[in-house]
Amino acid sequence: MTDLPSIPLVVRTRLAHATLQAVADACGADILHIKGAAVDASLRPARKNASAGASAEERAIPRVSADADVLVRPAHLENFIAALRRYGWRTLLNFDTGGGADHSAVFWHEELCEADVHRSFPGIRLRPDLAFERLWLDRGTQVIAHRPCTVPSVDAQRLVLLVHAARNRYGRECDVHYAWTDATVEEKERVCALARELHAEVALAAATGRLEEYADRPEYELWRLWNTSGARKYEFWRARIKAARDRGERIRVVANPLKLKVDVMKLQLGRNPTRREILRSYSGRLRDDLLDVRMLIGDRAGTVISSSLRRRR
Amino acid sequence: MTFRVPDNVAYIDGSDLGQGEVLYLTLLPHGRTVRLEGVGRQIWMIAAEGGSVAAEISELVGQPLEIVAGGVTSFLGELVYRRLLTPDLA
Repeated sequence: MTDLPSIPLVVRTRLAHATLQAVADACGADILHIKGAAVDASLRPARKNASAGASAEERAIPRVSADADVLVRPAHLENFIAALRRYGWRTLLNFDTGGGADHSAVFWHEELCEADVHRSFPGIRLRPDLAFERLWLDRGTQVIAHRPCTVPSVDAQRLVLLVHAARNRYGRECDVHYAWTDATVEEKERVCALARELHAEVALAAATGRLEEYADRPEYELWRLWNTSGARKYEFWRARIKAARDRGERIRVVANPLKLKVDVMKLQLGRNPTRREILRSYSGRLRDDLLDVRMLIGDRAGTVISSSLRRRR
Repeated sequence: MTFRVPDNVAYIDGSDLGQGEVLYLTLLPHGRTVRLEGVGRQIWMIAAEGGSVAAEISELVGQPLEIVAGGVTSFLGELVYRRLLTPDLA
């Protein structure tokens, strides 16, 4: 990957947001900037030394992120990706690289940074086109690098930050604090109502410590695992199968471990892998997956044996 | 002549983000980025605000207007040529 020491990351991510908006405008795609530099000033901690006349944006401490995230209207995704390629972005990771129910692809621009292009957002289970339309309805504008960028409403931003925090608990306590703990009763009610509309109640509950209220929901196990340290790949795979929204998604998740993920290898190696490297990596991955399954079965068998022994005593 | 920032330019002044007195200008939608520092940065910033560039730079560097005017005009021309500024015809 190209290193750009002369431009700080906090600058590059902001310039990338502005560039992504320009690409979207050029091809007529609807996009919403999420997380990172797109987060509203009211959801960020304030500087202690801010001057009295400073605006909310000037008072808020800038968020530092590794990439620029955008959510794209699913019907515009193909156009947007074609335009990204036209304007110098190249694919680092495809949509189907992750766990099967994959929500985003990663692009790279030599002079900017990575862009995480979402076709859906994990935790939002409403159909992606309907969810986007709902978020688009009450969108706002956030000026990033002096260019207007379309963003979800502040309530929706709260929800996105919380749902994201539920998947990446470590280091996200600050987001939960500003998006939830510090929110007024009315703001919390609006976020809960939006979560119901977007079918994101379980994800929101996972972020706000009420996950057990949703133990009967198919996605419960997945959110429980995200909040559990040391959960195994196989456990996630099984939870993803259970959480799949439809048959198509279930098939994709089931088949995912068998897929060749050359883009991941390319990213790790920094070049195109050879045929031999692909074969070695693929067989190694299958071996690790099998080992994971055997360990899990072993654990379960051990639990069954010990509980039957306890019963006999 | 006064200038303004073209609609196809995004910019960040590093000092706004605690990243030093460096100006980053990105041409949209291609994402090509240019860095400006020192007097170059000052010239662009004054021009972007619609200010009287040569006069302000003359004051800033403590040199007579006739000494700095040529250099400033030439640099402004370069910025316009690179589409990082545009003459404000309004």
